[in-house]
Amino acid sequence: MLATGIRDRLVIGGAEEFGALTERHLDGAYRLATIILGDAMEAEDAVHDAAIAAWRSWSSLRDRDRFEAWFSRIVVNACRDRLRSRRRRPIVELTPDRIGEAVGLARHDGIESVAARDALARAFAVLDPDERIVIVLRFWRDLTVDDIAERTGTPSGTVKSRLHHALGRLRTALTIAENDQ
Amino acid sequence: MNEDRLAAEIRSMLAGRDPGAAPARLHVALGQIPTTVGRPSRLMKVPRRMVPLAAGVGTVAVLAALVVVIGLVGIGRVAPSPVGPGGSPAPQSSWVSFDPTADGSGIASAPNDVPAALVIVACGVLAVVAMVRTRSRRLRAAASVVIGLALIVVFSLRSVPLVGWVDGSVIPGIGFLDSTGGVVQDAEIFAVGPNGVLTYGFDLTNTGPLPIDILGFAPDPDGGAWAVGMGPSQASVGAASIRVTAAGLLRDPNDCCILPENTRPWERVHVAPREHQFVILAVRAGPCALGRDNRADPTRSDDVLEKIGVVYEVVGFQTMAVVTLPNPIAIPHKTNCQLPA
Repeated sequence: MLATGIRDRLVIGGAEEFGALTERHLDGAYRLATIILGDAMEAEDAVHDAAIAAWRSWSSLRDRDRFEAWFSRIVVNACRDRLRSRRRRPIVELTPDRIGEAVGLARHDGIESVAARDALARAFAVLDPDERIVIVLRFWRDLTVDDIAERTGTPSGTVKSRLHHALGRLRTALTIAENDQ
Repeated sequence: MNEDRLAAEIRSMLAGRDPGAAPARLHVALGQIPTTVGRPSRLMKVPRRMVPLAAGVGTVAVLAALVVVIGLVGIGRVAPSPVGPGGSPAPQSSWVSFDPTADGSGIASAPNDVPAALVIVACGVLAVVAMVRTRSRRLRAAASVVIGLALIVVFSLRSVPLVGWVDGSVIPGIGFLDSTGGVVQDAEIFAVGPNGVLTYGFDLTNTGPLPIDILGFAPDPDGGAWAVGMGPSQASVGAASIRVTAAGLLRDPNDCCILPENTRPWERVHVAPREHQFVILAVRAGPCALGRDNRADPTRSDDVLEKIGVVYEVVGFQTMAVVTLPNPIAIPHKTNCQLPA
């Protein structure tokens, strides 16, 4: 009876700690997921899935101070899975023609300053999931390459390579947009 | 476009996608997770640092299980014939004798290579898994040793003959004429006439350390009979000449003679290490064989059978051993005989 009571208190304590930590980092996780996925509703689902996965592997987190990095990684993985499942549907290949078309659509809105950003957003939307994630972690979270490597579970060299390719594609999109203005 | 400008544009674009704080319903949903979602047992989780070890252990376990299964399949098969006290066959209501003229009984099909192929493929797959999934050098080395041993065992079982003539009984049966006077020294001479059938019994011995199941004798002309002085790599004497066409067993292993009432049809036989198994061969002569009455033909020659192929199974692997008969079987035949077209 005593053992059962102690166990219950431990379980409740773990749940409370987990609840407090997820509550504290929920906004950051939700914003990260939305920026990666570009869809607030899907981001909610991704964060919810990530929280369930985190709770199920809660015992594997030895250092509670690392919760934010650990939970971010789970969220990033959930987003990556969703982006990859999207790719099963037809995707638009980012070619100069497509970029030009995107820029043209943006300029047609009549707001030239928005055109470049719109073209950039369209180029970002067709990036590879892993490239999209490193761009968000680098330019929105302002993480270093090593931190991104930790959050994504990939070597630093791979992160650099993905960053290089993604920036090249975004630069191309932005350059074409500016030249057309 | 410089890097700073690009970075600024990207930051601006990403900031435009920022939705702000999470909606209240998400806070509520996450708060309910610990009470609505069960947590798996810690025992079920493999710590990350243990994953390579688990992969290596899993590799070895799968390989070991494969070997054990194949071994059980091979060893688990027992002699199918019912055996009574003293090694005698259990009484049965009716017996069917071995018919040496019924070609095909006891003639085995080519050895089944599938189990050996499966082990080789499994070793290859496990080697790849061990190399890709295991970072520990020790585990890789252990996996290499296990895989190497498995391959050595497989190739040894298939290449080292575990059955042969060592000693025991040799009993000539139908058509036997004499043991001397043939072209080949110490041959057993049989005169059965054109396309006649002789019988010849002898003890096969399991010469290896593992139990075997004798499945039958290799079909002729692909691996069955060779002329004297020829080996399995050389041409068979062919269907027009002497060949093994059937095989049988004794009803009672203690019988002395190959009489029809003492025999039974062939069936798979289990032979323990160092044990004998008496087998009866039915050998069919060619169309030019001489009969008992004209065997003294001065122009005669002898067809000789001195080796046979025995197909057997050991720990699930089938293979064939070329066995030299206790004495060559010689059948006199005409040298100026015209073979039928």
